[in-house]
Amino acid sequence: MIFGREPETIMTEEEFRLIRDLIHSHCGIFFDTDAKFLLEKRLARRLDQHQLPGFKEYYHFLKYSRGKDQELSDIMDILTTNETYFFREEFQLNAFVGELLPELKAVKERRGDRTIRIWSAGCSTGEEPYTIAMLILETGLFKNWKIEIVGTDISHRVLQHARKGLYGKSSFRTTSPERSRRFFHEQDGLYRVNDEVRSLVTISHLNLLDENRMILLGKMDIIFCRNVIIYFDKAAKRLVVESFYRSLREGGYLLLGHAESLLNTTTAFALKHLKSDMVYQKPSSGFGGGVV
Amino acid sequence: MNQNHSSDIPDAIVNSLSSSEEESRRLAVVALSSVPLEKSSGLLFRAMGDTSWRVRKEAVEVYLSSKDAEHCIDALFNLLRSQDNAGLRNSAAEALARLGKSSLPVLELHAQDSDSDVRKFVVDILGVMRDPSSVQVLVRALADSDPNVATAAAENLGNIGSVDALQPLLTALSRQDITFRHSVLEALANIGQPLPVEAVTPFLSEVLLKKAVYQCLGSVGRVEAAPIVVRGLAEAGKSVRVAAVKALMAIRDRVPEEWADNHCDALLQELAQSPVVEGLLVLLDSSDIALRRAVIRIFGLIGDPRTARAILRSCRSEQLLPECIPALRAQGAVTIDFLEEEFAGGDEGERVNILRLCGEMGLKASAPLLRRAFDEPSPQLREFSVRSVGRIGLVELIPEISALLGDFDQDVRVAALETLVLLADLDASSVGRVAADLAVSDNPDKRRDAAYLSGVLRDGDRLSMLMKDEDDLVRRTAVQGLARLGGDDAVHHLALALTDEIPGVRIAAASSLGETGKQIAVEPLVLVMADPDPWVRCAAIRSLGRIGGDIPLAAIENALDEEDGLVSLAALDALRRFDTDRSRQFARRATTSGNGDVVKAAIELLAEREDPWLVEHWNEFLRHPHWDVRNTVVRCVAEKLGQEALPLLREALETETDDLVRGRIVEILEKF
Repeated sequence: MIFGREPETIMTEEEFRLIRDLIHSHCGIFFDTDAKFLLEKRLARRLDQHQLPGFKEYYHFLKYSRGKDQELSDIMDILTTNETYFFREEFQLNAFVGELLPELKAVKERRGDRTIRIWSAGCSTGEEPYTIAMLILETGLFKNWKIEIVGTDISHRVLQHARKGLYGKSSFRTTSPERSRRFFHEQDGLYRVNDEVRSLVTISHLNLLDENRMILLGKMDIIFCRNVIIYFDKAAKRLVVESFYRSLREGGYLLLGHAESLLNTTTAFALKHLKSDMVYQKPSSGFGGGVV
Repeated sequence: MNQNHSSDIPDAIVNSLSSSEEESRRLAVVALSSVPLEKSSGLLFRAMGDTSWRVRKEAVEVYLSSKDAEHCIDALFNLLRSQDNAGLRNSAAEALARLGKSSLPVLELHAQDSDSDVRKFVVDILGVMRDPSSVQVLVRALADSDPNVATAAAENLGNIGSVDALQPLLTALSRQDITFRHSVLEALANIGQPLPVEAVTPFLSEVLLKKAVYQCLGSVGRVEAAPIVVRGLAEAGKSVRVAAVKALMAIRDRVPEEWADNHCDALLQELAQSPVVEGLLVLLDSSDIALRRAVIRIFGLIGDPRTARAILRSCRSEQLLPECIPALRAQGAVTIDFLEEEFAGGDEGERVNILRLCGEMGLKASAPLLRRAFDEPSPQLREFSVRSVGRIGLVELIPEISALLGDFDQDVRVAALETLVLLADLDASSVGRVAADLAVSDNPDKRRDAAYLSGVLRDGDRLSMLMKDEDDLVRRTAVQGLARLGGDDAVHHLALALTDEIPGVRIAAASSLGETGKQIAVEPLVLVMADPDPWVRCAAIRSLGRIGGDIPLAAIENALDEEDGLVSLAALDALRRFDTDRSRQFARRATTSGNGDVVKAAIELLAEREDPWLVEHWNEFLRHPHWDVRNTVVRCVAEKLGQEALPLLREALETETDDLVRGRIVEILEKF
C-alpha cells in the first residue's frame, strides 16, 4: 500500500485504559498494563475492518455504535486464546471418569434421579463439552439416563464452530485412533462429531458476568471452567465463582484449569482431594464458607 | 305564485341566464338560490328547460333546496305539458319524484288527465317514488286506453312489488296486447309471489312471450312449474332456453331437496343422450357466469358423458369450480382413462386443471398420472400434482414428494412440505422417516424442513437434536416446533434456547414458551426480560401476558417503565389479557409516559375497559403536548360517552390549536 495508513497505529495510554475498562465492564476480562501491546497489536486489524482512523474512534465505535455488542463479541476471539483440543488435561478427565462420575451415579440413584447436567463454561469451539460427552458414553454407566452437557461461550464465532462439530487435525493431538473411529466421521477432509455425541451437547451463548442469563441454564451437577477465569480480575472472578456456586446443585463439583484456584476468591467451596486431582465441591447442606 | 321573475332580481343574474356561456347560466342558477322561490320560480322553471343538462340539473337542485318548493308544485307539474322541450319535462318529472309524498296529491289528481303523455309521466313518477299508497292509482292505470300508459303502469307495479297488485295484474293479462302482457309477466316475476302456473302457461304458445313466461315461472313457480320449465330446455330460441335454465335452477333451489331429487332430477336424467344436451352445451360459450353455473349444475343432474369435456374446460374458471366438481363426479365417463387422454392432449392450463381436479375429486386412481407430473418441466404442473397427492392422501407417493423438497422452484418446495404435513396425519411413520433423512442433510433448508415436519409429528427427540443445529433458522424452526409438544421437557429446552446468540431464535423461544401456557415457563420468561434485544423482550412480555398470573403481571408492570417504547407498547398489549384493578392502575400509570405512542395505547386500553378515570382526567389529556394523544382521547371519549361527550368536545374545540385534531372534533360534533 503506497498511500495507506501507517501500518502501526499507536494506542495512547488513555485509549488503552478506556478500551480496557469497556471490555472489563462488558465481560469481566481484565488486561493489565503489560497487555497494552497485545491490545494495540490485535485490535489494529479492527481499525482496518471498520475503516477507523485511530483507537479513539474505535473506542467510540465500541461504546456507541449499533453493532457494538457484535463487535465486543468478535474481539473476544481475538483477545483470548481459544486454542483447545479433545481430551485436554487428561489427568483431570481421569478423575472425572474414575471418581466423580461413579460417585455422582451412586448419589443420584439413591435419590431416584436419573439425570445428569454438566456445564462447560467458556467452551470455545466445543472440544471440551464433546470430550465430556464421549467420556460419559465410554463409561457405559448411564444407559437410559438423561444426560445434558451445556457448552457456553461469549464469542459468536466459536459457538458457530462448536455447533458444526467439524474439526481439523490440531484438535486431535491427544485423541486415540480408537476414539476417533468411534466418535467421529470424515467429512470434506475434516472430522465431524457423531450424532450420538452431539445429541448430548447443547451450545449456548453466555457472558459469564450475566447472572440473569446464567439462571436460564438451570442447575448443574458439575461445572468445567478451565483456563477461563485466568483472564478475569479479582472482582470479576468473584462474581463468576459466586454464580457457579448458585448454579451447582448441593454436592456438585467445580473443575478449574490446572493453573487456576479459588484461593483469595471464596471459601464457599470445599476442596476435595481425589486420587489424581483436586476439585472444588459445593457443600451438601448450608453455606460452607464465604467470599474472601 | 307568480312565475315571472321579479324586478328585485339583479339584472346581472337575469342577463346571465340568457348568456351563450353554459357556465355563466349555471352560476346564475346557483345565484338564484339566495332569492326567495316566490320571486325566482319563473326563472328557475325556465332554466329547467335549458339546452344544457348541467344548467337543468342545477335548476332542479336549487328548486328542491328551497323551503317553499312544495308551494309551487302545481306550476311545476304543468311543466310536464310542454310539447317541445323534453329536457324541461324530464327536469319537472325528476323534481316531482324527489319531492316525494308532497307531490302525491297532484300526481293522483292528474292520473286521469286528458293528455296521455301527462298520464304516462304520472305513472313513471309514481314508479320511481315506489310509495305503496300509489299502488291503487297504478292499478287503475292498467286499464288506461293508451297502451303505453298501461304498460308503464304494469312495469312500475312490478318495481314497487306490492302483493296488492297481484290479482289486478293477472286479470290484466286478458288484454290482447303482446307488449303489455310481456310487461305484466315481468311485473309478476318481480313481485315474486306464488301464483297458479295455469295463469301464465297459456302464453307459452306466444313465441314473443315465452322468455317472459319462463322468467316468471322461475320467480314464482313451485313444484308444479318444474316439468314445464324442463320442457323449456328444449326450446329452439337461445334466449328462451337461457330463461328456462335459470328458471329451473331457481325453482330447484326453492323446492324441498327431497322433491328436487325425486322429481326434478328424474326429469332431467331422461334428457341424457337427447338433442337437448347439445342445445345446452352451446350456452356454455356465454360470458354470463350465473348462466354457465346453472348449465353445469344441470349437466351434473342429467349425467350425459358428452358434457364431461365441456365441464372439464369450465374448471379453469375459479368461480365455476364448485359446480364443476359434483357435475363431473356425476358423469360416468370421467374415469382416469378420460383424464389421462385429456391430459395428453391438453395445453398447460388444461393439464393443471386436470391435476387439480384429480385432487378435488379425490381420485385415488390418478396416482400414476400425478407421479408422472412430478417430472414435468413446468413448475406449476409439479406443484398442482403435489398438492393433489395431499388432498387425495396418496401416502405411497411420500418418497417422491420428499424428493421434491429439493425442487428448484420455491412454490413446488412449499407445496411438497405442506403435502407431507397433510400426509403425516395418515402415515406418520413414513413422514417421520423423511424427517430423519432431511435432518442429516448438508443443506440447511432441508434440515429446516426436517424441523418443521418434526414439529408436526411432535417428535421431541429430533427437535431437541435440531435445536443444536449450526444454522440458526433450523434452530428457530425447531424451537417453534417444540411449542407444539407443550410438556415440561419442551419448556426446559425452550428456556435453554433463550440463551442462543441469535435474537431470532430467542424470539421464537420466548414466543413458544408463551404458547405452552405453562406456569413453569414464567420464570425463564421473566429472566429473559433482561435480554439486550428489545424484540426478545417484547416476545417475552407477550408470552407472559398469555400465561397470566401475578408474577407475569408484575413483569409487565416493570416493562411499562422501559425506555424502549417498543417494549412498553408490547407490555400494554399484554395488559389487555388482564382485566383487574391492578392492570387498570398500570395502564393509568402508562399515560404519564414521555412516549406519545405509549400514552396513546394506554388511553385506548382504558377506553376499551370503559374506565371512567379517562373522562375524569380529560383536561390533563387535552393539555398533552402530542397532538395524536389529544386526537386519541377525543376519539375514545366520544365513542365511550356518545351524545354525553358533546359538552366536553365543545370545550376541547375552544382550546385545541392543531388543525387535524380540530377537524376531528368538528367531524364528531357534526355526526351528533
